[in-house]
Amino acid sequence: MNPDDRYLLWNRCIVEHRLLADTADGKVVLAVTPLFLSAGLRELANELLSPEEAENALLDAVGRVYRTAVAGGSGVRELLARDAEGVPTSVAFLAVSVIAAGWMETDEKRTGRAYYSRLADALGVELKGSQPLGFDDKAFEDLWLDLALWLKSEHDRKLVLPEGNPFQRYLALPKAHVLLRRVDIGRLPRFFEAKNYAPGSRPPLDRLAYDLVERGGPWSGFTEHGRGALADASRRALVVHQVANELEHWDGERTDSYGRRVASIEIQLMVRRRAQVSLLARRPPGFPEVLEGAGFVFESADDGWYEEIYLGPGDGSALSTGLRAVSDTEDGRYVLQRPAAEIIPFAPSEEYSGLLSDRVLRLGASSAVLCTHGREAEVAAHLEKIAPGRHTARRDPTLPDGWSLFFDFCPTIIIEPPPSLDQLHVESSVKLVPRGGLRIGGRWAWLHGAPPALQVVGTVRGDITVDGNVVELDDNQCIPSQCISTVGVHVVRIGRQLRQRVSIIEASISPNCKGWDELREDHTRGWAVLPAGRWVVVSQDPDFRDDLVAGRHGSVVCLPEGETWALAVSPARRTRAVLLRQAPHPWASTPPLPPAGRPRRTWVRWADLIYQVAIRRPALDVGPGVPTEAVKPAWQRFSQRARAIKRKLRRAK
Amino acid sequence: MMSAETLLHWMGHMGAGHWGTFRAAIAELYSIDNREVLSRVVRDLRLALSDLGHADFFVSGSRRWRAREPALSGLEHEGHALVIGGRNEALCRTLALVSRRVGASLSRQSTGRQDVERLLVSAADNIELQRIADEVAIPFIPRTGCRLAVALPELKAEVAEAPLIVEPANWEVQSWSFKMLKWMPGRLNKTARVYINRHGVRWHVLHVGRRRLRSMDRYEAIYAAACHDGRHIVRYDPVSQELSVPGRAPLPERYSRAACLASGLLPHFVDGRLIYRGIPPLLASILLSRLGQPPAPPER
Repeated sequence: MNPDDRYLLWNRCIVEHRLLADTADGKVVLAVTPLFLSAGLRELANELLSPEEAENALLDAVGRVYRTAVAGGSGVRELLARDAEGVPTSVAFLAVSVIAAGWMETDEKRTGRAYYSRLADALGVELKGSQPLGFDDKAFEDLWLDLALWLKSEHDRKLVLPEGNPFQRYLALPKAHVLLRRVDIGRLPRFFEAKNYAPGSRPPLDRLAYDLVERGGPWSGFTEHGRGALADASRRALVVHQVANELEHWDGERTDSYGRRVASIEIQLMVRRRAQVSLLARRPPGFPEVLEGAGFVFESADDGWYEEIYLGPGDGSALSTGLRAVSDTEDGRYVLQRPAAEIIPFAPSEEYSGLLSDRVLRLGASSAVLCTHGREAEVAAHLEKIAPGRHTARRDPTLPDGWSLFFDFCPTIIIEPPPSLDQLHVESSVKLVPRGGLRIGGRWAWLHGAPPALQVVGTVRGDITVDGNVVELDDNQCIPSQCISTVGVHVVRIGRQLRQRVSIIEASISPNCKGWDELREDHTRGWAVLPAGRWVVVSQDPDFRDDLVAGRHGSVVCLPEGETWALAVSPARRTRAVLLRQAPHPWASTPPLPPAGRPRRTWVRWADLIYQVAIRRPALDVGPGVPTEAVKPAWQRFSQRARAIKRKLRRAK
Repeated sequence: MMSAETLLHWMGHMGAGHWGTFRAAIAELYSIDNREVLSRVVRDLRLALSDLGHADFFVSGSRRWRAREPALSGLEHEGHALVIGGRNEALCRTLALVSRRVGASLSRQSTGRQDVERLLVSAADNIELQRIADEVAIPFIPRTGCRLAVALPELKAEVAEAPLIVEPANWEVQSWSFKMLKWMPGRLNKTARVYINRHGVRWHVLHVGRRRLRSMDRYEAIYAAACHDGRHIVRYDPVSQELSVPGRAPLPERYSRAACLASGLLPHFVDGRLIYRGIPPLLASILLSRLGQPPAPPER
């Protein structure tokens, strides 16, 4: 992929997953974080990069294009263009300008107000005067205005721009998009964990807003800048949206107080005739292939997970007391963790078939709850309130000891649970749950001919459309599969709540397929198997000779060109001559002499050996695949030829 | 499209993956809910796809599979080749077109194993096959079965290089019994063993004496034990060109592939034995030598 293609890929990624994703009342912020970039790249190009790697890759691609544009004399105004699909090509560059604004914190070398030096670092250029080499303020402003115009005219969205005539108006452009600084973004996983948000979830924005601000003021874990952004009524909604976006792309990883990377262990529930419970640990980029601990061995599977580990009756305590597997290696320190629990809710997952452990129950979704025997009665009583009907616990022998299962119920009523049943809170956020199909690589890509059924879960507000066409859900609350059966990218929208690209891809042949190089050798080669014993392999070419000892089970030999024999001369046993391969072409009637420059000695040895074997009247035999009747005349011819050559050599002395 | 064909397209597109995703793909394509049925179907498909050169499984002892590049695999019968490795619609269409143009034929044939089909190209000779392969831009490998067999290491050498491991504690153990020709609970000496823990993880080993265990593939361990003890468990009939092994001790995967790609046929069960058909004497000799089995009887 040449640099321009790489740049355009990032451009597309940011447009699709940021500018055209959910908005806060129609307003759009061009804020990209490492986590967002990693998730977006995986979604669009099925490339797995850690968040840091993804950010570096974006900076690298944009820097290259910028330096090329500057060297070419046109500068960033060159980005005032459209790609093949009519999308502005300035987006990736402008996103990097926002990243640089997000770096504006006082450090050892610079104050928190130094923007252009940070932009120069991001673009990989020197400063010329006070600005990056080749930078043009006016062109920079034009790029922002062009993008705003495009968003408004094509998608009826409003790009956030500084209002009025601000001081430092060019710097104000990217700064308007810095809602939370880098350090606050880095603290979000702690917030998600503390407030019990499931990785990848899309909770209602009012719940997020409540936890971020309304519960007791802005979350205390943020910096002063972050708390200030939340306290500002004009920016609050945008911040909540940004946090929601981070949560959607969060894979559950966080860093503990010892600096170890921590990923969560989920529980997968599959129920066929009997219930089967498995541990399913997430594997963020960079986590080791194998991680052992807590009595389990987690081995890497595909696509950001470790392989599932079935839990049997003996594993009851692992669920109730929690699990913690720690790996401290030279390459880093990693933890896989599952907290202690007595009640575990399950909901359909976007990522895995079956039901996956969740932090809450989901309105309108087929759900399950695992609980310890002691909590059965109160769970049953609460379930009867939120999912009308009688609910009986199962105690399948396949379940971990001490645990019961409530299965196949659908919460339809939202009520506040008692504090002891906080996990059974019902959330109404909408979710698109793929069922079945053959996924290929990215989270939302399927093989043509094996598409998924897309189930809509949660409270829907507005129309459901696929590629702009309104669709009706079927009896299972699924989008009809014919809507997404053709090859291409299909855009599913659920009101203003959710926008999801679904790719249906024609199968190609992966470059990762293993080749057959080990077999692509000389096509004229043949082989034979020699029985046990000492052998000399000769052919009609006197220069060829191979001495070998075949073991008890024989030896496989590669044959040279032409008629080939294996000769065994032994004082103790009968001499043998085995025809391994017949002459493919008739021999020339006149026996040759060694070509000029070739040593006569090898020819003499060859002729002598055959002569010695011949005078001992060897036992004749054939190798596999050679007709038996061929051996006698072939030996006669071969030995006569050897004699003729021997005579010629003697006369030629 | 048949489910097995879709599975092949998926594997070719993915290139490689984890065992779990392979199982999940089969469960999805064949709409299988029952775990026992799924295990059986998965096993059938895995063996068929491995034997016909489409993919390798448990690569380097891991739980991963890896698809192979598409190629024309020459059978022992000159002018005939199987399409092996990954494939997709476009490749099949191109092959059909090119074959027709040179006067060859491309046919889909049932293998008798689930709905797996083999694609057979029949041309006048190997030169024509080479031409077809060149036009489609895939390799042509004449006599793939023999080449694979020659490339196999001797089992004795494999044993010498297999890592020594310590017997795991508190794992269930089963041993291969040559007398009963099946796995039996408990420890038998100088034979293949499998250790199983409570989570279903299996370790296959060869007991080589005293307390020494070498980690090996399950079936290679059986044949290595047979070689060591001089047990004759592989039979070959040069007249019918059939090679047979105990039903519960199929040829190790690499050897099985060599046998199947010689004839293009998958093995089948008869009277408790697994029969490989269309095995020419030379290939049989090579396989027997590599397996450390007594040589094939001469053709008479």
